[in-house]
Amino acid sequence: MPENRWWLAADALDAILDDLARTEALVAPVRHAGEVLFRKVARAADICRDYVNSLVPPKQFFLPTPETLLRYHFTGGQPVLDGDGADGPERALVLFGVRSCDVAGLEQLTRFFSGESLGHPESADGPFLRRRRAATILSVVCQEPGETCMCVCCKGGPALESGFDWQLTRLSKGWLVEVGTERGRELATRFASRLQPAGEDAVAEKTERVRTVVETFYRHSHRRVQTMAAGRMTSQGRLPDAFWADLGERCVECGGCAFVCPTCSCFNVADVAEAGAGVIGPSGGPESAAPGGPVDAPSEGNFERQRLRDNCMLAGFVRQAGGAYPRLSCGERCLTRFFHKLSWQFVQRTGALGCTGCGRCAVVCLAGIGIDRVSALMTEELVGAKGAGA
Amino acid sequence: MTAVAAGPARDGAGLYVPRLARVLEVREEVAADANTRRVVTLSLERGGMDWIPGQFVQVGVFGAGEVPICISSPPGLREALLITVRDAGVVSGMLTQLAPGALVGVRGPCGNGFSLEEHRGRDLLFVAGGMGLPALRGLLWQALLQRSDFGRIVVLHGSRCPGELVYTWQYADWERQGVEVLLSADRGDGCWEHQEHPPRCVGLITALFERAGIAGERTSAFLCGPAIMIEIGGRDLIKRFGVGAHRCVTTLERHMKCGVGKCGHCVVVDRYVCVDGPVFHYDELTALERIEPPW
Repeated sequence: MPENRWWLAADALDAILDDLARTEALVAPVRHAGEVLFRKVARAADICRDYVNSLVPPKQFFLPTPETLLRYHFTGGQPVLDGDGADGPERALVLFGVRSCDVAGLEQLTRFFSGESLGHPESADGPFLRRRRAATILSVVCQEPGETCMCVCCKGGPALESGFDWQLTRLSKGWLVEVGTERGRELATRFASRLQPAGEDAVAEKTERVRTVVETFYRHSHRRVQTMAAGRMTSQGRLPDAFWADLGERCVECGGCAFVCPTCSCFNVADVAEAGAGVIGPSGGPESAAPGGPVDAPSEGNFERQRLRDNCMLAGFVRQAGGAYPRLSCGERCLTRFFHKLSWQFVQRTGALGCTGCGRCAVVCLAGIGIDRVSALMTEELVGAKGAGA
Repeated sequence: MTAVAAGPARDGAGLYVPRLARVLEVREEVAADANTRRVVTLSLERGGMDWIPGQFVQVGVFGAGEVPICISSPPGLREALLITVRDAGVVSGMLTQLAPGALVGVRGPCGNGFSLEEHRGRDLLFVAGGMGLPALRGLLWQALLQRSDFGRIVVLHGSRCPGELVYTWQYADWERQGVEVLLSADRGDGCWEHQEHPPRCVGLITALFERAGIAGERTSAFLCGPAIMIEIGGRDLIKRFGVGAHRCVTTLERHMKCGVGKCGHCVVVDRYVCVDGPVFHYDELTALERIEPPW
């Protein structure tokens, strides 16, 4: 549809970004202490242009940690709720320079938090959706795969069909702007004076550039998310316990993989006292006078119920009161994580693979068991099993 | 899988906001001593809430946090919301110390709940290990309200020691309504095992299966208890006693932080226990782990 594709002159983009920075909160990649991070910027000139991707995905703008879900206080020893207490977005947010893998991740998070993936729309998560609705996503298509990029394997890029408001592709003489949503259309109307309908040649150039990225990836990168083999092995439960035990032994349980993953969203909920409200334990909660002794419920002070980022690779994640402890071994937790990322069971539930191929877990993993390595090991198991059976 | 919750709409902002409920009554089920932790049954203000047996609520102690606790009272009555809590952690410990009049936070009901309808006309077997009985009590009540629609109703309740059996004050009432109650304790106390009524044994709860005279093809079994009991008990009933895998129903326990399918703490294979469960059929659980992808 031609009205969804616009051509933007090379120097006009910064004018648009400067304008957005004045009227909205503009968030874009900036170089900070040698790392690329998404930060609020005051003008287009501050934006970092030569980056592969940010160190962490921009999910903290939708799932900040800590995030207040509820506020309450005690009056005369009785609890009183303070409104619905949830933090709202301060103002409309425009995210520029998001890569396709992270757009795909955010799309998955949105489906999950709206309750759509699990078939429970009545449990839509208000705090997340308020932030998501207040955000505009201007994604930028990658022109060259990075060393650890694997989006091509996971339908996570280099360009997408949906999930963005605008998808920008750098062309030889300007930018191709693809509009993905109603919000994107509104934005195109606002900047109509700077946009021209995109010609067939611009669209063809984009297609060619995307094709080149894919070709370069297959020709030069040795990293893959081997989705077919890994999907078979996890969905059918064909990986022996020893496989997971071995992964568990290598894993150092830092949790880095989940913290940097654009589709990971597990969280903990804790009631935390504001400073000066009684004796506070290491978790922010109340603490008994003697270790193991009875604990009295607080009856004064101001409290927040907070959402805090959590991580299925950490040992305490599924710990239950009373001693029951599912997934006690790290190997079992590796199984849970990679099953969630790669199995057909979860593809069916969430509508997409749990990995968008951003490659960050391969970068941060101290044990060298990012998703590329693990899926390669799964392929070896599959081939080995076939070989043995023949 | 059973019907969806009949709870209040929990949209957007209110998803994590509890309602305040007053503790109306406290009954001590198990006294704390050197070997046992205190267990109490709390009656909470119902506040217009209705539920399906097997559903749970997120119960919060203000200033401490929330824990998921199954609802033990039957739906549809004007009776209070009953929860039975064991002093197992910080929040549950505080719940066991509450006095009538205290205010707690309640969110829910959460989860799918049991469907009694699909078991009409059959024998009902309840297998409850320790704190598993509170999860089944609401369903038992619901069955008793329609007693003539079911065949035998048998309750097997086991615990580590006799002092940890819960709802002992109810057994006589249940028996009057035609329920057979059989008890087990992993070890006796020198006195309990010599009493005659209700029938009892020292040993694992599975030892009661033989004694209960289960007719597998007519029986629907509901199991709740420690993971090992759910696993071995279910396998025994299906393999040795011929109970259909689809007639074997369990309710799983996980420490949900949100109760609404978001926090990820309760994931089992690809199911979120808090919204897809906590009630599962055995055949469903075993089918989850191995499926054929379309490629």
